[in-house]
Amino acid sequence: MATIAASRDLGARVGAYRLRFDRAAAWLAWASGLIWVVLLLRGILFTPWLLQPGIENELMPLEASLRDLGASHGALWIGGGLLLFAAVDVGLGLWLRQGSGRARTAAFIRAAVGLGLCAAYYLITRDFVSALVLAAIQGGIVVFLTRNSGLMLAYPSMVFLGIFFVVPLFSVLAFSLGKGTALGTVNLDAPGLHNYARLLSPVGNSGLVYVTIIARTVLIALANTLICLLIAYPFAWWMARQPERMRNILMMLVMIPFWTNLLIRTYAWLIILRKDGLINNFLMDVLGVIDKPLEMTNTLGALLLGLVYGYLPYMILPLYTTIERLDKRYIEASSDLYATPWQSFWRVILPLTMPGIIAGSILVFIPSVGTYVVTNVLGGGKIYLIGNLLEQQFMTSNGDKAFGAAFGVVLTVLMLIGTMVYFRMGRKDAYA
Amino acid sequence: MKKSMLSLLIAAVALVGFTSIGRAQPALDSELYIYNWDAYIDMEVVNRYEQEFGVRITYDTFASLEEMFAKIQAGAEYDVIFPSDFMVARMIELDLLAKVDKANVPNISHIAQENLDAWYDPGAEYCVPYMWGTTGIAYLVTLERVPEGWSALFNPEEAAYYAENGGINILDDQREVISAALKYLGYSINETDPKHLEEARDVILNAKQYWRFWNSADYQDTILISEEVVLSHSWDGSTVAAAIKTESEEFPQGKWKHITPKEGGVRYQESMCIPKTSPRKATAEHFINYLHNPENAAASSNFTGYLSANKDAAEFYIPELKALLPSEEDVARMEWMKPLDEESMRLWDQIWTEIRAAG
Repeated sequence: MATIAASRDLGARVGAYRLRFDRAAAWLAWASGLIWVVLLLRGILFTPWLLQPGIENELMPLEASLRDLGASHGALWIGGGLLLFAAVDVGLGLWLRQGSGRARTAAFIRAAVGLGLCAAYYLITRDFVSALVLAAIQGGIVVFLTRNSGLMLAYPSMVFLGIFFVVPLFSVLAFSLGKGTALGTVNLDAPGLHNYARLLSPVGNSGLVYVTIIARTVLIALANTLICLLIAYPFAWWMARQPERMRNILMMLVMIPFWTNLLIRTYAWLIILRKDGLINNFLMDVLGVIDKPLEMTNTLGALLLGLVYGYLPYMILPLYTTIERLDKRYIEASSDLYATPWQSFWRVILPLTMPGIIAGSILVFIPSVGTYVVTNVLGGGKIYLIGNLLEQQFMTSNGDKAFGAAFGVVLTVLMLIGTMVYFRMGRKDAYA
Repeated sequence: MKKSMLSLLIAAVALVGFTSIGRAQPALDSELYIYNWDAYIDMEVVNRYEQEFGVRITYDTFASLEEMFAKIQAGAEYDVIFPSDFMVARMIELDLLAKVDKANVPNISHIAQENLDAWYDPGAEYCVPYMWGTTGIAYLVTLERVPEGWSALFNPEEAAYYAENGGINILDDQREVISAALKYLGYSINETDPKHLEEARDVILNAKQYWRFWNSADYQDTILISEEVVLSHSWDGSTVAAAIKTESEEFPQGKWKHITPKEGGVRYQESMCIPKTSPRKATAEHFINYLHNPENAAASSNFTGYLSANKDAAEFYIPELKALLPSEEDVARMEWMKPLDEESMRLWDQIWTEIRAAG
């Protein structure tokens, strides 16, 4: 909320400089014009694909697909089009700089047509990257013309998220409606919900295997979150009570494992736990209390140990931040009011540190649902979780990528619901 | 006499000269992009090639065929790739591979006809066979009871023995495990009959409790060498790799040995292929030819532990590899893994999920 209000405020102040927005839009139009001119010059002078349609030169994807488009209409048609585009963009830029209202309308129309052309271009040629770059420029023109500086500031991140988040997410969604083929590709000709139906149908003698796998993974992730919370809370409390110098050192110590890759740290645990590992050697050769090595790897215990070890810092850090900021006078007040230590913890401290608990739990829970490395290395591949199933669908020869995508969608939706419920709960508690 | 010697010499020199002109080097590109399995070549050979011919090689590795397939399908520009049998078939069907020009790979004459005529590319029209092998069982040489066949993994009584004496590793690979169980039952490894597959599933579920590890990624390094287990479902080359790394005075040929199960099993082969997108085809062919120089082929086999398709490389093998060379009867018992139709793929995948998710 606050950011929107601030940007509105900023927008009001910038209102006086409306012309500046139009001028920025003009620069963008010229940039777009420059692309056409460069394409035209390259096509005539350097790699003459426009003049010799048959040449096998190294063409950029945009040029190659434009050439293919033009092949049925003659190359001149494309050349003329480029020239026209360049003229329109340059003229539009000049007009916009004069600050006329009509120019702004014209530019809006020009940008809208541009977006439509980009979509058409993608649909015909399937050249995604070029279409996206061009569309981003058209979008930029629109954003400048709205004279909304908030939108303008957000635009780069919107484009970034659009490319690297929204598009992949929707591709997964689209894949999940298709059908995996024997060749390892996905056939999208007859979209339907069959993959989701398969997810919910029994398999062989084992019942609802896929639901079981999801439930098992969620349970392990929950157990991990709970253990992390139980270990991290007292530790964060103690850490927050240390003198400042000590606190910084402790903080460093918590962070140091982050500097090493999780895979390497997990393998380190393997060396400690395995049959000829440190613990077994110590118990057998030094203490002599056992004569057969303990089997500690490939167990649920080893898996949970690895998970807790890997994700504990994500729980400690947010907890520490909230506990450190906790106003101690509240605790004093509660004991002044004859609360027992247990009561003041339960009724005062816990609600006040709830934001840290929630943040930490989400930071631990979500990655541990998707965990794959730890479960495979320390679980020895014996405990089969969602990560293994996804690998089976995407990385093995009999996998069905469409089915795997459906699994991914379900997982994303479950996470989303879980996070939302959690936030709701947290809010109620915090204000109770 | 002297004169005739001289003329003979001249003739010989001329002949050599002419043939070398006739075989004049094609102009090589300055770089080459290779995409191979991890640790599936002797890098020394690659480095030698770089120095000898001035070609800078960029060497990337993949951990699974699907990873490689996805990248090539997305248009990655590699010049030489090393897919396995069924993947070659798939890539040929999807028109992703260029045909290798055999005139540029004269060393193809060293490759056994049997390898050249593998089902996925008869006559090696597209690709040149690289290495091949069979799936079997690796065992620790100190074991009293030497395994003979798949019953060591699937017969509960036998499996319990090995589990008690140190443990068993199984390949975490759908096709391999179910195929092994099918062979144990006497069926084909490309079975599509649901009844037979369910039988195989039940055999596996009965024996599963005796298996300590499910690892197909790095078991030869992480599990075999440290003797976490005494028996492992294993690709022959990986067993040899573990043997090479456990050589000592007491065990000059390493502590791990391989058996080809008496019931038969899976046979596989990797090929060297050139993707259609490669702009450096001639250089790629030149490189492939270099790798099939018998000594170079043997160097890669001695390094990786896998048998070369190059029959003339055998004389340069290390003892462990010479011991691995299977007899003709062994090979005859083996079966190629073939692609399944969509319905059977689904069936296999579901059975595998049941196996993996159980317990």
